[in-house]
Amino acid sequence: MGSAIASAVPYVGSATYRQVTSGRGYQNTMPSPEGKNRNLRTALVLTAIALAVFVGFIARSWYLNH
Amino acid sequence: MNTATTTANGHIAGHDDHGHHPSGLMRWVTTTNHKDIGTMYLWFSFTMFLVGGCMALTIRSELFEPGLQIVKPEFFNQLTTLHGLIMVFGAIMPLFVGFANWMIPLQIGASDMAFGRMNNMSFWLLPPAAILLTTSMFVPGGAAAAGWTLYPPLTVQQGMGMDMAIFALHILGISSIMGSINIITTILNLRAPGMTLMKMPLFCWTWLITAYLIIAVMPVLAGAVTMTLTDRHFGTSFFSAAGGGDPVLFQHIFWFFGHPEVYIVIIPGFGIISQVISAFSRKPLFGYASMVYAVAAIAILSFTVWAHHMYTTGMPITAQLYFMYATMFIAVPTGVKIFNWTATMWRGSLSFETPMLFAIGFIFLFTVGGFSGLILAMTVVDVQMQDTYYVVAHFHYTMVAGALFSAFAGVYYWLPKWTGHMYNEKLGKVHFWLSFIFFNMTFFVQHFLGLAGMPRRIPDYPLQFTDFNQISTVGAFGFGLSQLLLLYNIVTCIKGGEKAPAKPWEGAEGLEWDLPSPPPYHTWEVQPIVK
Repeated sequence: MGSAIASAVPYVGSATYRQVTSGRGYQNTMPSPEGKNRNLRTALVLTAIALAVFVGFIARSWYLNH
Repeated sequence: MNTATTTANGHIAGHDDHGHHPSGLMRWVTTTNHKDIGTMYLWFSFTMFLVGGCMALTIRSELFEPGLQIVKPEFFNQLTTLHGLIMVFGAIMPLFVGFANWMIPLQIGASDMAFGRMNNMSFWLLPPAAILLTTSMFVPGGAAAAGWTLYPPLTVQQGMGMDMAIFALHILGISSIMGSINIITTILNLRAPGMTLMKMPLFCWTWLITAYLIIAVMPVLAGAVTMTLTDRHFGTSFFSAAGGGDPVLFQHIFWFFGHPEVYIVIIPGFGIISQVISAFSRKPLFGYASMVYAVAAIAILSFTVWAHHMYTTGMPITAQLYFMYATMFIAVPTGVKIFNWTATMWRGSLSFETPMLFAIGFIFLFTVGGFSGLILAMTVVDVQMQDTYYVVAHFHYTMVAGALFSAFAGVYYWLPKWTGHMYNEKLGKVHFWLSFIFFNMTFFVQHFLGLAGMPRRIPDYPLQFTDFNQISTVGAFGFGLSQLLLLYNIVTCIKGGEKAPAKPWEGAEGLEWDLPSPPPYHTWEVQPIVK
């Protein structure tokens, strides 16, 4: 396998499982408050998009009918 | 590999020895574990496939001969409607959410999904929705009978079964949106150190894009059915022509949701197929980056072609031309994917285990469905084919072959990982060949029926359509019964059998194969580092 292919598909070519280590890993059992906030922020942005689309389509249809 | 794997597994297995997770019924009711929830999604989906499949077989039984034999016409319409709604929203979508729950955390090195409780709630919203849909057959007036597209004015006129369907769709939509928020947040925020977006397995990429699609279009459907509801009960006239509304407006809104929805049910399958073909070709996927861009392009273009479902409603010639060319343009990124899958197999060290058979079957059948889609994209052809069995054949080639065959490939590919046992390979291959033959027997002849002018959604037909309908019905029963082999294979695989190694497929790559089979209840509590 050439290096060009390996770089195009790094997760396959470099066989990640060889590079998995537990000793140098990050503890992940409890998300940090910062991590939780980041997750919440992402979720709220996505929820806002969904709500905006829902309300927007109804409002647009209402406008078209009046 | 061995040293690192042993170390990682040893740590994880050691943690699992604590065994501090609930058991019995409450394990499944209260679980926030992504594997438990994934398993529940998959079984729920299988159950709904059986329910929707039984409806399909009733439809095909009625169509075995001309004339009315088994069901009344109004019940026939209810069956076609519920079959579509159940298969799309109750079976295929939860099926891939099940895959996502199981595989995404394992593949990106996350300990679980970002929002465990919301994940639990996303699943447990499904059974009430399914009960609403299926039991609506037994209320006065029967179930919704306007087709899965729910076009007014029928939907404004029908009985309380329609309200139940609307409520069910709201619940299913909320569940899908919550699931998508969870998937996006998990992928964006919980990837292992070093797992950049362009290092993710393609299955994660396809789900990331699908989740964005769901968030963008499920609210559109929710808006459409909400307006239908207010037209029915609160005196508005969004779609009721009698009150100054516009029924065609519903079609625009519905298909603005509906066409991306087609890709929502197929794109995760693209991810599975990419991984399966790479594994059984023992080669890296050809054109990884172009695959990602092609999927993204398909998703974006899916917003621009909705009115090709509505050529016969009447629209300016310029609009017809635009939607025709835009639809044909989707063939470009789709062609990129087919090319890349074929190029991955080219000069690969191929072996044809069951997942690979389903993947190759998928490519063949999906290409047939793609080509008939190109034919239907042409306005002049579509006005002839609209609402004929040609359309039925086309979308079953894309939806059944696209979604179901890719899901079968995924089930056989990851079953050893999920259960810790190898499935019966011989039975798997028999399942593939029976499914492939009977699928074509069911749906290929429907192209001819459509070309000959047989309309869809009718319980009776002229005598000259009999032969092809009989072939189709026999094929449908064969296809349905073949799925019992899958059920048997899965159940025996869960109960026991040959022990599966951590990595049962020689050519498979990715973090999930670094975990033992089955993976312990809690995985990646120490995140791996991907270099």
